[in-house]
Amino acid sequence: MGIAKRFLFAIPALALLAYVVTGVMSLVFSEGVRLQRVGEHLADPELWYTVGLTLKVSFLALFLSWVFAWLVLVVLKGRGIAVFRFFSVLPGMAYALFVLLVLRAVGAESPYSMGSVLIAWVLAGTLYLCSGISEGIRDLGPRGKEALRTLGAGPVRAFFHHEFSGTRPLQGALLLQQLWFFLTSFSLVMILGGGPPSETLEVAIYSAMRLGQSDVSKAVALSLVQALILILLRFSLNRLGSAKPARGISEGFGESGKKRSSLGISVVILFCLGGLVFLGPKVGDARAYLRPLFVTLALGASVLGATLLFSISSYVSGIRFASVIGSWCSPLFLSLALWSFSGFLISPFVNVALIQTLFFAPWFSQIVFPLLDRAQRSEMEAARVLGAGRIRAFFEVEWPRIRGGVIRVLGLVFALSATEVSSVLLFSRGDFDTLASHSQNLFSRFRIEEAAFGVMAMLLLSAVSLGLGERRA
Amino acid sequence: MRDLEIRNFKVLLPGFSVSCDDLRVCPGEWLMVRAPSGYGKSTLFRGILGLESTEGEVILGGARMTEVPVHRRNFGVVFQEQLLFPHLNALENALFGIRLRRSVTEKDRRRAQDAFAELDLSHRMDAPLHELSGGERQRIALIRALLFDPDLLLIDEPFRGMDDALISKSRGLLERHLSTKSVPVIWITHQNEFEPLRAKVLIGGELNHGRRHFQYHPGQSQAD
Repeated sequence: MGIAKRFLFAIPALALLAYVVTGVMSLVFSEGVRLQRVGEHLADPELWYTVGLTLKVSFLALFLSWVFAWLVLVVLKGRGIAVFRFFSVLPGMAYALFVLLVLRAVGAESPYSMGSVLIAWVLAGTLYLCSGISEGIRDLGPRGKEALRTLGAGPVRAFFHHEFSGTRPLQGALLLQQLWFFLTSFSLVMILGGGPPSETLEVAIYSAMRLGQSDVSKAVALSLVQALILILLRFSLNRLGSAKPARGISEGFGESGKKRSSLGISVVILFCLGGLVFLGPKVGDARAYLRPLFVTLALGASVLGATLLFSISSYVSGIRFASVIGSWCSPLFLSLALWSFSGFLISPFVNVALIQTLFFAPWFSQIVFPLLDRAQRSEMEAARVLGAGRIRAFFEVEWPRIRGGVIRVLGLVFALSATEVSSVLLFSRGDFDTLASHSQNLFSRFRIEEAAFGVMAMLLLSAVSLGLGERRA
Repeated sequence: MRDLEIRNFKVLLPGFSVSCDDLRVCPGEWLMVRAPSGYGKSTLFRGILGLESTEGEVILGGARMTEVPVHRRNFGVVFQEQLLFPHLNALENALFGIRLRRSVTEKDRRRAQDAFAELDLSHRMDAPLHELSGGERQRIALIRALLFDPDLLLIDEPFRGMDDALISKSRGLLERHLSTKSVPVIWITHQNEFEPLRAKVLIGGELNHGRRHFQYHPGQSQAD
C-alpha cells in the first residue's frame, strides 16, 4: 500500500492517539492540579491505606478464585463449564446485585463491606478462571494424559503433569487478567463497598471527583499510583503472552461449546424476563427506564461504529498501538484525563462514546487482529490472480473466515458498552443516563428493587446482543 | 494471435534474483520450466504472475503485462498447493474465476459439470473442500484455471497426487481445451512428467552468488 493511502487510513488512529495524549497532558498541567498538592497526597497515609486495601483484597480474591476454580474443574471434570463462559462476561453490577440479595436473604447484619466485595469478586473470578482454564485443558487434548498413564503415572500425578502443568502459562495470564478486572472494578465496589474507608483505588478516584467536592490533585495522585500498578501488570501480561481472548467470546469454541454458551445466554435471558415481570409492579412507572434504554442503545451503536473505524484504521495503517491504548490505562484515569481536556468542548455523549471506544476497541483488536494476521496470504494471492481486486479478494476469501469472530466480538463490545458505568457517571453529570448509570444511582439511594429492575433490563440487553453475536457468527 | 514474449525478465527478491533468457511462446505452445527443487521455479512463476517485484517485460499479445495489475492479467493458474477456498464447495471453487468476472450462467455450470464428469468428479460437485482428497483438489484447481478462458495458462506441478489414469484424463482435458482455445502454456516441473509436441524448455543453470538463471534449451524440445 502506498504511503499516501496508508496515511489516509492512519488519520482516525492518529486523531485518537492525539486525543489521549492531549488529555493526559492537559490533566497534568490543568489549573486544578498543583504538583505540590499531588505530592502531599502521595505522602498521605490515607492514600497508601487505600492502595494496601485494594491490593490485599484483590490478591486474596485472586487466590480464592484460583483455588475454587480448580475445585470446580476437578469436581465437574470439564462438564458444563462452557456455560460459565457467558456468566464470566456479566458486569460487576450483576454480581453485586446477586451477592446483595443473597446476603439480605440470609439475614446478614450489614451487606455493605469489603467482605461482600470479596465474595462477589471470588464468584466472578471463579467463573472466569474456570472457563479459561477449561479451554486450555481442552486444547491440550487427551493424548498427553494417556501417555503419562501408560508411563506409570497415577491419576493424581497425571493430573498434575498434564492439566495443571500444561496450563500453567495460561493460568498465569488468566490470573493477571483477572487481577486487572479486580483493580479496575468500579460499580461492584461502589454498590457493595460501603463507602470510605472501604473503597478501592478506582472508586477512590471517582470519590475525589464527585460533583461539588472535586479534588483533582487527589484524583491525580491516586491515578498515578493506579496507573503505575496497571502498567506493571500490563507489561507482565504481555510478557506472559496472551491468554485466550479474555472474557470469553472469541472464535472457534466448536459447535458443542457454542450450544452450551447459547444455553447459558438463554437461561440468563429467561431469568431477566422473569425478573422484569416480577419486579415490574414494584417499580411503579417503568417508563422511567425508557429514556436510559434508548441512550444505552444509541451509545452502544456509536461505540460499535467508532470501534470499527479506529480498529480498522490502526490495523491498516500499522499504528496498532492506537487501538489498544485503552488497555494500558485505568478506565477512570482515562476518563479523568479526557474530561479535563474536552469536558467542556465536546458533548458529554460523544466523550463517553469515545472513552468507551478506547476501553473496548482493545477487545476487538486483540481478537480480530490475530485472525487477520493468520490470513492465508497465498489464498488472497490466488484470488487476486483469478481476477479479484484487493477489496473483493478480502470480502470473497478473507471475510468468510473471520466473520464469526468479528460478529461475536461486536456483540461483546455492545454488551460491554451497555454495562459500563464509570465514564457515564463522570462525564454525563446528570445530562443523560444509561441503564447502567441509572441503576447505579438507584443503588446509591438504596432503592434496591428499582435498581434491580434496571440491572435486569441491562443484562437482558447485553445477553441479547451476545446471543445475536453467537447466532450470526 | 496472442504470443507470449519474455524480455530481460528478472524476479528480484532480497538476497537473490531469478532471471531467464528472452523467448517467445506461441499460442498452443508449451514452455516447460525445469529445475531441481529450491532453484527458483516457483519464484519465476510468481514473478510472471505479478506477485513479486520484477524487472524486464512480459508481453502478451502486444500488451505489457508487467504494467497490468495482477487481477486484470487474465491468467489461468494451477498452483502447486491448489489454493482452493475452504468456505466454498467443489463446484463453487471451480466457478470462482468466472464469478469474479461476471455472473455465472447455466452454460458455465454445464461446462463445469462436463469437466467434473470428465475427471471423475461428478459425485463430488457439492462436497465441501475438507472432504476432498489432494488429487481431487488438484483436478478442481485445473478446472478452475480453464473455465474462465484465460489468455495464458500457468501450471505448477499439477499432477501431484494423481495416478496414471487421472494424469492421462487431466492431460486430455487440458489438450482439448487448448485445441479450442489456443493459448500459451507455462508448465513448471522438476521432472520429465511428459513432453508435449510443441514445447520449449527453460532449464535452471548453475547457481551463481544468489543469481539464478533459466536458460533456453531448444535442443530439448521435441518441436525443435
